[in-house]
Amino acid sequence: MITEPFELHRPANLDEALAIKAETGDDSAWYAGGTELLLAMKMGVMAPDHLIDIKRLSGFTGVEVNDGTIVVNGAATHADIIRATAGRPEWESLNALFRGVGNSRVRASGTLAGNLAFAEPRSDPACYLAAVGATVTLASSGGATRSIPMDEFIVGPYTTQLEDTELIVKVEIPRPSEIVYSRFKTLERPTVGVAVARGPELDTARVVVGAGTYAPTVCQRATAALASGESPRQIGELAAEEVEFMEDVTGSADYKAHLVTVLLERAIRQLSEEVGA
Amino acid sequence: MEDVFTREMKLASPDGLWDLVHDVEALAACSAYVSDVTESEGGWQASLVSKVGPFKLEAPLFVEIVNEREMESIDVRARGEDTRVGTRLSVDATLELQPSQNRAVLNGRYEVTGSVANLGSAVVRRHAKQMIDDFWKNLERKVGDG
Repeated sequence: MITEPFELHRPANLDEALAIKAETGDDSAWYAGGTELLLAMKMGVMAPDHLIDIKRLSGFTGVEVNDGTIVVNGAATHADIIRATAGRPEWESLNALFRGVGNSRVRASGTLAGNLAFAEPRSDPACYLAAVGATVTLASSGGATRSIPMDEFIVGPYTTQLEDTELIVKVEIPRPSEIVYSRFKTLERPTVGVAVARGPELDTARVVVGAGTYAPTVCQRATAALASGESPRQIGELAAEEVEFMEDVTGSADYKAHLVTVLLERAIRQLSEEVGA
Repeated sequence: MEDVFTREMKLASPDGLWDLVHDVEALAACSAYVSDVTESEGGWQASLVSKVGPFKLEAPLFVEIVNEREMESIDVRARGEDTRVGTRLSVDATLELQPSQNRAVLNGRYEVTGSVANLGSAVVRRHAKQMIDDFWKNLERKVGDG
């Protein structure tokens, strides 16, 4: 399908990009990897009058690996993250997560910021990043910035706290002491995803369920149960009770609740085995 | 995709709801998604704007009363189409008054066809529920018994 006509803007720097966005508001869309946006436009679900290309903004690409934290800039691709963390055992789980995103074409051109901003519910990174306590930094015209914890950033399917005039400029990902991310996937996107993280930087632990839910959900009761040493099965069952599952072509709510119970049980056992090893 | 909906409320007085239903501007003000209501031949024209994240639906709506029984029930039909994103929507609803119990019951059915339905039935259904809940909550604030 051919897209509706649009005007393409290629600003030279971030200030210029934000000024265009401030002027065009929700009549425009940010264009970086385009892996979700162009698909939506070709399907006819989105028809923005303006596209603002942010791929060439100076200083807006790249990944910085620091001691205990990774900073992913706004136009950094999934492949950039894979390259930056390759050969670093302390970032293996993050590396594995991004190796599993989409296909090689998506990883080469799609950006993490775009993935989070689009907030497709059946996505891997948001669930993992909510578990490890990542932070999303947004900027708007005039130099204003604000940072939002990942577990609060996505509020529903395709819906985030991002205002029409804002842009994700970076995502900061801390390295947790322990993390296991697991998913069940039969089609293009995951049916459910679960993440279990543990470490002093997270106030001991965090259990998150995503992909089969409307938004990644930190399961408070399951998290408390993990911290207090309940059995993996009980933690899985608690998490499955806590979240609202999305019923779709990949399965019913009951089916997804069962998957979450099993995946979490296995993830927690794996976490314990890794610690034991 | 299509779905049905039902809502109930306890009324302060059945007259209050009946009057509000016939004050179309006040009724439209109960929905944050509907604006620019004007009388048109056989009904009303209005504008519907609804967003799910970056997805925006902007459709002119035509609303008409299909059937009305004084202080008993009113059947309403709404039809709209956003030609830019190729999506059609229709709503058929009946508002029933139960004066003896000071209650009102809304029963309806909606259908969304075209590209927006590609977002998935779970997402569309959740958003539609939110739109109906918001409308019903605002209506209840005006004429409900609370």
